[in-house]
Amino acid sequence: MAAARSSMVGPLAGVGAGLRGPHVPDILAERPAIAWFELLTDNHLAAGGGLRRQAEVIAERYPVSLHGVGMSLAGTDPLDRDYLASVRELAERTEARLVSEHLAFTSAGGQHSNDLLPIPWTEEALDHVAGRIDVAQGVLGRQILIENISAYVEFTESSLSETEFLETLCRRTGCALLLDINNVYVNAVNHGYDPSDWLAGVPWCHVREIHVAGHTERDGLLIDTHGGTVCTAVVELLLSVRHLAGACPVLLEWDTNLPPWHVLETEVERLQRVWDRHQPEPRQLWHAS
Amino acid sequence: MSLAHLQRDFLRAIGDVNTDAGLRGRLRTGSGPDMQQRLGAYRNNLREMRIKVLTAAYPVCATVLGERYWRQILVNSKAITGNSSRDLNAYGEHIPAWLARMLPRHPELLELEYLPELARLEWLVHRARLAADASAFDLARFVSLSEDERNRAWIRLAPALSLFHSDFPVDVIWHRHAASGDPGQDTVGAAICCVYRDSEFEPRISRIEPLQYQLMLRLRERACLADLAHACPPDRHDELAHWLWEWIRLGWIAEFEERDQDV
Repeated sequence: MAAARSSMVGPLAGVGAGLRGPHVPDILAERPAIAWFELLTDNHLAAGGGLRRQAEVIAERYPVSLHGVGMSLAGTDPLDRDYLASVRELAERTEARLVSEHLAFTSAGGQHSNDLLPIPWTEEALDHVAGRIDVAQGVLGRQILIENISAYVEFTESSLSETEFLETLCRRTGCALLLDINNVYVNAVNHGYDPSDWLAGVPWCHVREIHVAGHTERDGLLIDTHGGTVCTAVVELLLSVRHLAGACPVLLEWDTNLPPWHVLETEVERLQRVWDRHQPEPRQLWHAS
Repeated sequence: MSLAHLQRDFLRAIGDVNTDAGLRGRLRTGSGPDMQQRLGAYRNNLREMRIKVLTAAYPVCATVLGERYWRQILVNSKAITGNSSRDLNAYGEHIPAWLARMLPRHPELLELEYLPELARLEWLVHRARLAADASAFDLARFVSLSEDERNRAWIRLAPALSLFHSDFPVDVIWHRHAASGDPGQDTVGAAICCVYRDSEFEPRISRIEPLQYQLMLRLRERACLADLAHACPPDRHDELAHWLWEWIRLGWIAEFEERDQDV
């Protein structure tokens, strides 16, 4: 019991799994040795019912983080303060270690896409998003992590690189980064650049969490479906930054074509083994810093 | 052009293939897939997500129609509308009305004239799943009140409870197909039901008597115990007392509020 309690305090570590409803009965019955779970914030904000309770039950047994899609931090519709307050309440109720969102807009003119949509990397957008992150962090009463998204288009008016945009956001607002390696790979393939070049621009001092996932090819594009195991190219990219990531927790996301729990668990274990095997030597960490 | 304009144009463009003029010249067109293919990825995501949400909210309608036909008719008959809510669980309330408009145009669905009513019932089930938790009825406090205070107290139904009335026995169809249904229920005739959530958070549907339905409607309108007694025929007061205890036991009645004499 003491050992179990000791893992419930302190920062997240190791490879975690995104919690999905159909897996909860197996997780509660088997109590798998998963380092931590990430809850999809928006799934657990209902005023009551099983999904609300599910978040509490998992948080009583595992360290958790919250990952949301509803803040529309890059949007131009007014920030929804009631929504932010309900995220804060959920974070407090589950004692979430980290709270993350996406660098995206999800609504415009009162219409909601409920999908993560891209913005141009401009000074205007930077000022706008930084202001909204300040407000969001104020209401939440804590730092939030911002995730780089998969974007199937690029804007002609972008005057900054995405990594410059992210670095400036962190510096100005005190937010941190959730680096999604699958999104980096998907974007690099879809827009024709080398993902290693993109990763070379990452401000590692701000990275607090890493995501990996599977993707699907459709009509000549890689689509960020979270629908399978993590491909070799993405695992190689992950390992290429192992010495820079330090003790960052890593999370496997799996949303579509959801397999039985034991399949997802096996994939988490595989990633954990690979991640552990490539633990950097102290000398590498020294150089990285 | 401002960020707000760009975002409105973008959302419009991924909602409809013919409205992407506002984005021309603003998207990089390098090698690889062209602009339409790239916007198509968003259009596809949007469509698939909404089909998934509607299928989750209306699983029995989807089963009755067949998953493939359900999907086809959602796409072809313009059921996939815009969404004015951040909460995806709130998306889909339009489906019963959409089905009522769509059915007459589809002769192959003539035998399924009950479908809009089934959808109406499924929406109540969907909302029951997400409704606020009810606090337990404080029986000890209630019985400690004087008879006069009890008669004046407002009795509240649980937030997850709703009432349903249809000429079609759609509750029987729901019980036959839903994961938490009871396939043994084969009652015929009009469906007069109560939709609620059990202690395991599972939505349930129970048939109730017409008088129970009327009395629960009164409760929803903030009736007090004296109002209920007044609305119930005197020769059925014993049944009313029994029902009230049963509703408390099932969690259909959540709490009560003491009311001042002059209200």
